[in-house]
Amino acid sequence: MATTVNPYKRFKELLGSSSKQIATVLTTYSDGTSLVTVRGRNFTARGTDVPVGRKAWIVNGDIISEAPDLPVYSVTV
Amino acid sequence: MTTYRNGFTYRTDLAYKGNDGVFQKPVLSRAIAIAANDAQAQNPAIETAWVGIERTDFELETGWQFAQAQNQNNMMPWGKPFALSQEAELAHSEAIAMSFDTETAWAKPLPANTEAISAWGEAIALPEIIYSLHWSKTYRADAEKNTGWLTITHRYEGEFYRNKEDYRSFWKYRLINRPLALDNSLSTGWGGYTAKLNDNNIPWGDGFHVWGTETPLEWTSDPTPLPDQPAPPEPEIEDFYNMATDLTVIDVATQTALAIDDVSMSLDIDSFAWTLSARVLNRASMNLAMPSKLIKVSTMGYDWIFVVESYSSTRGIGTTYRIQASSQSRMLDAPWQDISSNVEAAATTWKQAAESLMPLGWSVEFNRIQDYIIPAGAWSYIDKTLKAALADLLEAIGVVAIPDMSQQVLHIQPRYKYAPWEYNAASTEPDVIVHEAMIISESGQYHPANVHNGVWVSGNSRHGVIVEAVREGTDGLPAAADVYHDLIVDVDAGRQKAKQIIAASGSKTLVTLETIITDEQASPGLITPGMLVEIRSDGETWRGICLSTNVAGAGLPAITQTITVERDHGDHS
Repeated sequence: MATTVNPYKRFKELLGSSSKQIATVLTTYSDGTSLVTVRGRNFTARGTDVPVGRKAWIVNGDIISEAPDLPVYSVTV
Repeated sequence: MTTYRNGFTYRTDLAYKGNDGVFQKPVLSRAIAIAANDAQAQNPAIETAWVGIERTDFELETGWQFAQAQNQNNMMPWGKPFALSQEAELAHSEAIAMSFDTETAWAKPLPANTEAISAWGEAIALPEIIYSLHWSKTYRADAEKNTGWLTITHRYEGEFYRNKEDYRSFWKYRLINRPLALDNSLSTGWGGYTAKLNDNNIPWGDGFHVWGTETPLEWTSDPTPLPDQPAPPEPEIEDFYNMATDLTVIDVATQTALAIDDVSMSLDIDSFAWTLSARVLNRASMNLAMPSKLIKVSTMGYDWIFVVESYSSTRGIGTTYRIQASSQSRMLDAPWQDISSNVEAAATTWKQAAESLMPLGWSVEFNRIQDYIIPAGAWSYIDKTLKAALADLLEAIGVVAIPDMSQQVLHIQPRYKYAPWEYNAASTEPDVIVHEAMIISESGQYHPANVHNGVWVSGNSRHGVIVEAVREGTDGLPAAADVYHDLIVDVDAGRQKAKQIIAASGSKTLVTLETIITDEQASPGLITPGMLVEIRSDGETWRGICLSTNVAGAGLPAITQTITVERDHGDHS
């Protein structure tokens, strides 16, 4: 987060932000959770709505919906 | 046949057989055959009517007498046939020499420079002008005139002149393609406009290939990169600065001067409007500076226009009032603007999308923004004001909108106009230079943070892309947290966003400086958020992005500006 002198932005930083990720579902478990992976990092998310092998939106640890599978580009800055 | 010196046509088949100077007269007559066609009746329309003829003797089968024409007038008188064409008629007689001059037209050729009359037997002297030879000098047979291009060999001796050859072959020059002057052993084949044979066959000494790999000229080039913008004025370093600041506040509607002082005008890089706090000194001015009024604040040649939003007063002896105001860019947000929802059904670009949000009278100016295409249907917003929708656009690629001080213009530029690793690049020129001598007070606050060398930036929808951005020269680790935005639909979008994220990482110190304000002709001028500021002191020189500006003047108009500059700790390099 960029440094800022803007009071509102500083206040928002204090509140923290929700985590949001697109991950690939590896396994769905019977307890209603799924094992997902993002670029080699695995973690468990709640929800089994997205089938194995598909991309899923994971917001604050919950599988929200299926996510698009997007093309990847590499750039240098 | 060519026309020879005297202008008369020489007749072809008459060969002069010069023999010891005896001129032989050519045969004067020749047989010319004329073909005359059959004669035809002059008037073919006339027919002759023959009457029946009497048989003289019935016993004789062939005893026919001559018939006679019944009508004498119709008889055709056949006369001598005429030639069809009068022009074909020739008098077949001995030919006569056409001109007497031709008999003696051949004289010994003379040098061009010498006018001489040749006594040539019975030849008749020609007029001088006929004798002059127009084809330059003649040369001896054994002398080759080397002209550099070809050599003309001209026979001159009398015995060659009187040879048995036809005069035409006598006058035929031998054009010999001689070797060129500089090098007798080389010849050059020319074709088109280039030498067919390169290298050694050009005989005039050292040269260079016009087309080729050799560089013919020694170019001295200046490899210094061109700066992105002109350099700011150099600061004048003084022991003290005698500033005469001015402050004028007027009511925009009536152009009436207002009794207002103690102004404080602020903007930070993440804000959308300048804010004003000021003291109003009397009731009359307060009446003109009531909320919703536009007032113009001018100092040192800079103008701000604010719309007054609130006021307060403290009653007592010498009642004073205070007002709060914002710049007109405040009007792009609620409550001036209603919320709306939209999806852009046609493909557009990022800049066009930003411009399309501007209401009538407003415009945007872009600085160091790389435009990219937003596919149809990719840009959508729900229940947002113009400002909120624009902020979403800005957030997509990490840029900020700096409101203009007095115009209805938003200056859109990257939050980090230059990334910290570009601050001291040769092509980077700061916007403003502040010397230590101009700094009234200074403070700093340290903001430690990890430096990130890479980040993954991703779109959200089917239009999106995922961009893995790596700081050049690094492995991209550690990477910042993933960033998602609907408008990451192009590599250029992801690159711009990622550059801002990486630039914002790392430890920073927010340095707050109070410095003088000058007009724009001198340094430092007015420093506004987003500018790249160079701070010079005796010990060091560093550059940073200005994050906020506060222009304030206390009771007496002694106006100063207080800026916050983000100093990067150089973790990126």
